[in-house]
Amino acid sequence: MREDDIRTKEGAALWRQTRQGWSPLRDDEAPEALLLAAYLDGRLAEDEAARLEARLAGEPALLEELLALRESLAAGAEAPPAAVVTRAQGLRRRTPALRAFGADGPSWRERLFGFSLRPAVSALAGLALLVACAGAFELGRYQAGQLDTTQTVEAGDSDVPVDLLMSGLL
Amino acid sequence: MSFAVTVESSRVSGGDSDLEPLLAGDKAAWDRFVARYAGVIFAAVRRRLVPAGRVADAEDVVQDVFVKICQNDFRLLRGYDAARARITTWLTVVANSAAVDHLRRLRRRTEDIEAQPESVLAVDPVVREEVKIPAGMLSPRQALVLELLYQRDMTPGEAAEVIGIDPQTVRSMHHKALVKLRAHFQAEMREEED
Repeated sequence: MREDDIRTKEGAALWRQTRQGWSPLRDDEAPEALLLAAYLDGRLAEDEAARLEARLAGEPALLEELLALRESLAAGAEAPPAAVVTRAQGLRRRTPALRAFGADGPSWRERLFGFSLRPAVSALAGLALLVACAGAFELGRYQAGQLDTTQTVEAGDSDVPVDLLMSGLL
Repeated sequence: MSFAVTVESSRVSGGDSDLEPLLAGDKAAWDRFVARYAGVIFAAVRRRLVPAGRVADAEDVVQDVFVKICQNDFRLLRGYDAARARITTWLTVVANSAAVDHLRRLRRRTEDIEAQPESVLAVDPVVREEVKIPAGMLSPRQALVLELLYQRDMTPGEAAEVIGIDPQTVRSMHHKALVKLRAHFQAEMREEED
C-alpha cells in the first residue's frame, strides 16, 4: 500500500458497482481545444469546470486524453529538426513591409501619393506603354518612307538624250 | 465545436507581442512564432505518435498543425484567447488532437487491421463508453475523484494535481462520495429485499 493511500476495499467495490451501468457514448463532440487548455491551466469558471469534470468522470477516453495532455505539458518542448522549422516558416510568403502609420493614420501626402494614387500608378504605366508602342509604330512608318527606293520620273523632251533625238531626225 | 472567428487581437495576443503583427500578415512575426513554438508542437505530436510506432510521421503532422494554424487567415489562431489559457498549453492540445486525427486516418486507410501494431488500434477504442452515474447522487468532481483514485490508481496528491485542488479536498470528497454511494446501494438492496 502506498503512502497517502486513502482507498478502501469497500470504496473500490462501491465505485465498481456504480460503474457497472455502461451505455454507448452519446454523440457528443470533443471539447474544444481552448476549453481543455483552460482546464489544464486551471482557468475555467466553476460551472464550466463542473460540466467538463462530469464528462471526464463519465468518459474514460476523454479522461485518458486529458491525462496524456498533462504528461505532455509536464515533459515540455523538444528541439525540432531544423527542416520542420524551415518548412513551416515557408508556409507564409514574404510580403512587402507593412508601413507603420501614426495613430491618426496616413498624412495627406501619404494619402495623395500613397493610397489614393496607388491604383492609378498601374493604369498610368499601362497608358505609357500604349503611347510608347504607338510612337514606335509611327516612327517606323516614317523611317520606312524615308528609305523608299521607288521613284517616279516624268520624262520630258529635255530629259531625252541628244543622240536619241538626233537619231529620229536621221 | 467551432472556434470564435472574430476576436480582438489583444485577446489573442495576451503576453505574446508577436501575435498581433502575425495576424496582420507580418512574415517575420510568423517566422518567429514558428521558431518559438515548433518545439512545443513537435514534442506533443511525437509523444502521441511514439506508442503507435509512427514517430516517422511526426514532421508531417507538425506541418499539418502549422497549416491549420495559418489557413483561412489564421482562423484557428484567432479563436485562441490568452485570458483562458497559455499559448503553449493551447498549442499542445491542438497538436495532440492533430496527431490523434492522423492516427485515426491511418487506421481508416489500413485495409489489413491485423497487420497494424496493437498500440495504433488502442489510440481510439472501438467502443467508447460512458459511466452511468445516478443523476444528482455525486457531484461531477466527486465522481472524478473516485474515477482517478480507483480506476486510475492515483494517490490523493496526484488526483488533486489533475483537478487543480488541494489533496485534503480530495480526501474529504472521497469520504463524502463513499457515504453517498453506501447509502444509495443500501437503499437499493433494501428495495430488492422488500
